Amino acid sequence: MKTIFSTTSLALILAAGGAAAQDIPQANDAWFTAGQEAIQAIIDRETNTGRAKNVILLVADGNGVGTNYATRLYAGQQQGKLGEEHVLPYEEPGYHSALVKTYNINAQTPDSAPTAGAMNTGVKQRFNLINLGGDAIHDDCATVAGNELTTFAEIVTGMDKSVGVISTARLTHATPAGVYAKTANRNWEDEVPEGCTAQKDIASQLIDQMQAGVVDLAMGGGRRYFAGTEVTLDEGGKGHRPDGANLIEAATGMGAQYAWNTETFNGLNLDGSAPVLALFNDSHMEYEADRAEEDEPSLAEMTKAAIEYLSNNENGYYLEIEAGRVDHANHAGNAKRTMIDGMAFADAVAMADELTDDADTLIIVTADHEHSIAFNGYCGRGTPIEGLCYDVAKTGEMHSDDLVLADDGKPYTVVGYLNGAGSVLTKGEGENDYSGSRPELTQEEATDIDYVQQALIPKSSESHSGEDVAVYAKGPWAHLFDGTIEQNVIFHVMNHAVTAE
Amino acid sequence: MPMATCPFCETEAEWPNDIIAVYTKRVVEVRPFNVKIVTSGVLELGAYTDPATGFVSMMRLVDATYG
Repeated sequence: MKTIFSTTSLALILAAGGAAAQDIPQANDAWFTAGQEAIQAIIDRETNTGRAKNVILLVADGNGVGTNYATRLYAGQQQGKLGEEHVLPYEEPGYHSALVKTYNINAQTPDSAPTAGAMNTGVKQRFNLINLGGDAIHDDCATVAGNELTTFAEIVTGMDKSVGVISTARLTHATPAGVYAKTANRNWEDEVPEGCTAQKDIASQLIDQMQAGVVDLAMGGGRRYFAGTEVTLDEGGKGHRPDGANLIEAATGMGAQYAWNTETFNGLNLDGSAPVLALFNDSHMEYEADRAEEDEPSLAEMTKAAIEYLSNNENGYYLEIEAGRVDHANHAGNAKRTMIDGMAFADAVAMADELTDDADTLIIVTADHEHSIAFNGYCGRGTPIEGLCYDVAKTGEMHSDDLVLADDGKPYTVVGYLNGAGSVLTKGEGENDYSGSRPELTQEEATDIDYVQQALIPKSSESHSGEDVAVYAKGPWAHLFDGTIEQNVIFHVMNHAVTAE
Repeated sequence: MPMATCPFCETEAEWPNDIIAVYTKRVVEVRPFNVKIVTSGVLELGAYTDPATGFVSMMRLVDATYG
């Protein structure tokens, strides 16, 4: 009996193996034909081994694989799709991709300073430092001298290319600072400790690099770090610099143009003849969800202006673009603002792609690190990613109308955080007396723009995680992104692309 | 959105642009920051500097109670 069964199984396997793919029952299924088209698109993908004239590095801060997944679904659902099937601009088959290991020399969980530094210098760096070698020590000015690294911006300036940096965070914040600054502490944004002469504060370094002809265009937030405490700024706020220096006047004094709102942004001369300094907010620019068009330009609008400006250089340019507030909304445990800023980032990528030629421009899309964001199940297709988890339906595609309940009888959101301000544990009488139960939650509350997701471990600010991020790229040498790479390899692809024979 | 950091306690905290000062009717019983409280009172508009703390507010809820 056993022998007969084995023989029959073998016959079935042989029969299946002999059937051509077009003869099998699922051959006309939409998923099947879409799969065939997907591999054809990969086969058709061009391998460009030319020299890159331009390099654009787009970084969504804190947009790891999980956060990016949330944005993908949210963006799709805003277009009336179920969401899961949506394709973000940089997820299209024209882009090569890889996974990226983001840890720092001395940190399993990275921060944005050394991660930006790794992408801009080609070597991993130490936690909370920017563009200093591995012998430098955090917060120790005495370890700066001799440990300064050469940046990609400095390298391409030597090739007579232009350099631009854009961020929705403060321009002195870690990711944009990675383009131009070298500092033993990422927080030395507008002052250094007394007696520290080996380096200047980060804002001063930006203006110095503009004067040196390295940085040609800088647009973002952080205005108060460029003026003294006695200075009343454009929107009525006060400067923050203890040394009283007015770096905005210093910049305009050397011929730079200055913009501080949408109107002055629209008035910038983009012919490349004069450097650009734009500071749209005293601190970070607004979340995309809160941004008023007449107050600040969008990340995509800044991208468009920067590319128009930098394209005037016939030798090309390097432009780093950061969506800085994906990270901030994650830190706040506020998934909806995270996803909306993620969508603004996707728009900026699409804008950069639209305005450039794949033949001579290497576009790299990545993140610096992930967050402690996580996703619950089992939710049906089309469950609003910003809301409560709906059950899987037995028929059709769309989720059922039933909310999935936890063992405590309460519904829960798809998106949660492992730690943060939304902790379900609350402090009791004793110092370490934390306990709690999950609050009741309605869909109306869960989808509110200000809703903070439930989290486990109580922390005033949600943390990064060491989980991988993705990198997507198109243009010259983009095919070098493959497999699972270290974050500093991103620099080496850029450097190879601009020097290839 | 609830503040992830207390702007009064953290020197690095960003000052929120949607903050409203609440002056309570009775002495406040401190609650953990991640517990929602609902408060009601009388809305006051216009600049006011608290003489005790120097805190400047543009709008306030005064005589407030909460549950």
